[in-house]
Amino acid sequence: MSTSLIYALTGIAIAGLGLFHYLSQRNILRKVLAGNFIGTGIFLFLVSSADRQADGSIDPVPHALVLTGIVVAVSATALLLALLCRYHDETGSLTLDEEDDE
Amino acid sequence: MLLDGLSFDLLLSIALIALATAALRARDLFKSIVIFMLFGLLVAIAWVRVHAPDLALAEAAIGSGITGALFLGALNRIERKRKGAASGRLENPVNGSTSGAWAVLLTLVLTGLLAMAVLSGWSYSGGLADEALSRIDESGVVNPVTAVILNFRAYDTLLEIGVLLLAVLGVYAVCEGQTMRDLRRRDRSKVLETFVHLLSPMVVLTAGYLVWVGYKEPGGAFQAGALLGGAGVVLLLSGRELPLHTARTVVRIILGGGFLVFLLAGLLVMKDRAFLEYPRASAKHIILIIELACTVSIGAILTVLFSGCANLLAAPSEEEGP
Repeated sequence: MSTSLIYALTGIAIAGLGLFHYLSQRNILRKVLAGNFIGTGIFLFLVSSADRQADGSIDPVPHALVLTGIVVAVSATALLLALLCRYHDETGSLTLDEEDDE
Repeated sequence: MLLDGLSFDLLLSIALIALATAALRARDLFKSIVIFMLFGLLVAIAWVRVHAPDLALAEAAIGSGITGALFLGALNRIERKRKGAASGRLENPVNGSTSGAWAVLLTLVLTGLLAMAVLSGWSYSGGLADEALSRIDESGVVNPVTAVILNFRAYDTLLEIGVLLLAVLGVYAVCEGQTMRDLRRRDRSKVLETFVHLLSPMVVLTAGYLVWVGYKEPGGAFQAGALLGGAGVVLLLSGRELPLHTARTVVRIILGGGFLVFLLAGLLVMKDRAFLEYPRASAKHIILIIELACTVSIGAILTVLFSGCANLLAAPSEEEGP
């Protein structure tokens, strides 16, 4: 059991938790929050995978991917929340209308 | 030793999973968001444990700071609107849709497959580490992460700054014509004022240091930009009216400057080499110039994103802001 393996499994668990809540929640604000957990879980998994060389050297490419990924995630979250606020202003609802689905 | 590295990792992992569960299951959305911010702080520690200090810096500023502020801003705005409509406090059923069983199944299959893949071949040492580390001398910088971001994979980073710009355009479009919330009188306190006075110059100084040190140690445009964005959020919350509307030319230049400088730098080296392939002798300076421009742009972009979510996007006024 190495440090990187522990965090890789933790990342998978967090992404799984996020995915489950992303699928099962109906409140869009909660969906966005769950999406952030999926993202963080995947980042954790990806960066852990950069830290498993036998000689202890670190692969900088996943680090660079995740660093830009964190910034893209926050901008995507901001855009989603702005859209959600506008949607709420217009309709007064925080869920997508599900009457047609059922 | 009472607490060795691995036990610490296990404890931290358990804490992370527990916090994620608590945040996702809390009935009160405010509670969810606060737990999410705490989770972000602990993730920053996890980054240090997997030898990613660059990410720890970015996560501490963004994951726990700015993302949390975005959520709180949006929640505040929605609850304010709810109060007007008298539909009460925002409590939500945690789920209750018919897709619950499918969600469980899909999640279990996906995470199970991923975990199996990890457990069966984790010690494999492939990756791009050798390629990146053996050519670090050609990049003009010493920090391998900065080398990958701004030299080896500069094309990705350029487009990523473009994605940020697109998000800002989206927020401007969505928030067009909304009345701005007035924070100026109500929330002003002497403590906050003094705090902001002391904090803002320090943040600018630290951001400048992070950009400069990024060529050899953890730091760089994204971490510094995130810090500036955090300072922007604090300034907005303390009631400053920042001139953020696109009607001002200077705002457009600041928001688009990072992308523009990056693009120009990529094009200008094309006289006798490929796009974004910096000449070895001047690579360090080109990277520093791009990073400085991107830092300012990222800081401004994050501030605008927050102001859009929290309904603080100011329309242009006659007098100049502070």
